Amino acid sequence: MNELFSWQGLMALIGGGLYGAIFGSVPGLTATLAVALFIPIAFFLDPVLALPAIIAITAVAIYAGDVGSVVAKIPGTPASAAYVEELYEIARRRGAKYALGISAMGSMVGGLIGTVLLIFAATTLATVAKNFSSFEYFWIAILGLTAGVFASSGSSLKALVSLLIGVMFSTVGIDPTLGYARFDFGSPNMLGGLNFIVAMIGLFGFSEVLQNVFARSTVERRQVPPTAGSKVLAFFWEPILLMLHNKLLVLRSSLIGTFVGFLPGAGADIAAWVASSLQKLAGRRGAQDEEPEDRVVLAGTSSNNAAVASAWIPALSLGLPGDTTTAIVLGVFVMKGITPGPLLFEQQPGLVMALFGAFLVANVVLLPIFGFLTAYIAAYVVRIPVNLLLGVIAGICIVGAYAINNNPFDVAVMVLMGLFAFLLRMGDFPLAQVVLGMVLGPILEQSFMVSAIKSRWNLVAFFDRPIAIGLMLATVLLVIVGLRIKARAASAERAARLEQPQD
Amino acid sequence: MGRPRMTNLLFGVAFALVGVWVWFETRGFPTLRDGHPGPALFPGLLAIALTACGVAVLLHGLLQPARLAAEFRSFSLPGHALLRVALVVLLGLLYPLFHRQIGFVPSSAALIFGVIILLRAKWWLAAIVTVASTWGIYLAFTRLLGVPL
Repeated sequence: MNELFSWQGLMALIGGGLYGAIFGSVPGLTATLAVALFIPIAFFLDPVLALPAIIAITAVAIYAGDVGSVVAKIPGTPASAAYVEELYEIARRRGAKYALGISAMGSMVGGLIGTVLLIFAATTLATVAKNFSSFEYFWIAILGLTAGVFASSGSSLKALVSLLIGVMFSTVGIDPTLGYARFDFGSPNMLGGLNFIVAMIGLFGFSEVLQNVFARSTVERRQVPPTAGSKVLAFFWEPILLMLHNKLLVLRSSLIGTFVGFLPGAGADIAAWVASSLQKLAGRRGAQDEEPEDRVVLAGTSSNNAAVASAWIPALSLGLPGDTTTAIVLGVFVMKGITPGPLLFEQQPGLVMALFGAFLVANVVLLPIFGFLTAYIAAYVVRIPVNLLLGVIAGICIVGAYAINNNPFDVAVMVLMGLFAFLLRMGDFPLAQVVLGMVLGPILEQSFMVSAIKSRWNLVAFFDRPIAIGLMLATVLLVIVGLRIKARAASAERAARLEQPQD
Repeated sequence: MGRPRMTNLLFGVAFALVGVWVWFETRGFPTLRDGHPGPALFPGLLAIALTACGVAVLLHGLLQPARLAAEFRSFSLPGHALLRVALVVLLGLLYPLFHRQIGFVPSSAALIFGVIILLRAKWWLAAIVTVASTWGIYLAFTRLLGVPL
């Protein structure tokens, strides 16, 4: 623990936070890529310095993924895609500082709750995670997809179409049962499937450029709301007040994030989708909801940072990666000759304490500081005339897509995805559901095929296990509630339309 | 686009056709050794669902045929706007070729300049922003983040 608070330890945390802030803000550069590129440096560092730096990178990068959403409606990380529309809307309505303030404060509290559970319940939660088999993962994917359909503010049918397209995109490449190449059009570049980060840059970023080129309505500067009161108030105090008014929402979302995060293979992306989708549904139920977007962002952002912390639970307790970042971290453990698992807590108490301390510092100190810094910069960036900003965004989209694998093919995929999203927008089909389908599609297919083969195609096995039954019932309940909410919203809309001519 | 019935009709037809195409593609996929469905199962089910949804969207478009007919009558193809979109897409698709031939800086600069000009900025302003942003992106990626371009 002393090493963590030495000047080298603090430098590692601050450097990691800054590095994470830059990576998270740039579309295409994810927290995972940031950690992967940090590995050569981690190799030369003491694990008590390298691992806290990785924690700082991921905690800040997941938050900074929201900066692109605020500036140009381009989520920096897949976790931010779940609430990109809402965050952009808040930035237009109340300014970038307030929007990123909600994001940073929600991330801070979510991260703290995830960390507290990591400290006090790591071994217990890891035992629960061990009981999850492919059957439970199948139902989790179904639950996530169902939430995605009803979370859309427009037509559920169109949300379902977007979701199906996303899942269909995820079937491109080698299949998980026989290793057969599907829809590869004879190109070796397609064998690995469509990278969803590349797709996301095209779907959200490049399509925004095309949309504006089509409409050519972007010569004027974007309407930036006047900042009422001080910047500190807008970034810190108002979001804190919002959180205090929505304590239960933050707690619920953080617990969802923790739960989803500690399931091996799930992680922050799915956590953000589940929590924000549930809040979108809940928000539609309450007719008096004055700030529905603020609450959706609060839900998504607190859940994804809670998941960042809880993804370490199976990594530390069982040696199983909770997400791709912890998979890399396990590699660092091996590189340093450390064996993760239950014995880690007895054999390396100093290291475990340093990790817990790093999580606390990253969430309580680094997130607010780097959050304020990035919000300050973002508030100026949104004042740049949109036609100039979009040119730069087009450049960043191209370079971001290329930088992921240094493969020009990814640039072509990104551009075509942008064109496809441009067409989808014309038909009022939501884009976020396409990304959700691409994220959950592989989990859905793999868990279904593994379960079916394991049970010798006895599909009753999907309804045999208690946790699986619980998740299935939750899905059915979600469908019933979702349909009722949609029906009520449709009848309210009809009634409003009928009343209009009488006014 | 402001023509909901017309777009529903067109998108419905397109998605239904894509669904049918995917379903036919999956017919050629192998099965598991015991005869159970393998790689074809999942995309096949998705294709059926997409076709069904496409037909549902199409039917939404066909409701109120009088309005649909009116939408078609008042429609004129926004040729110039579509040409601008096509130019940006072309610039993006040509980028990998230019990148390989002339390198990152000139190819990115051409793309950024092209997009800004298509968005009606003054040429000198576009040139300044292009030079500054190209070098900014280049330095940020290669020097600061260590990502080769």
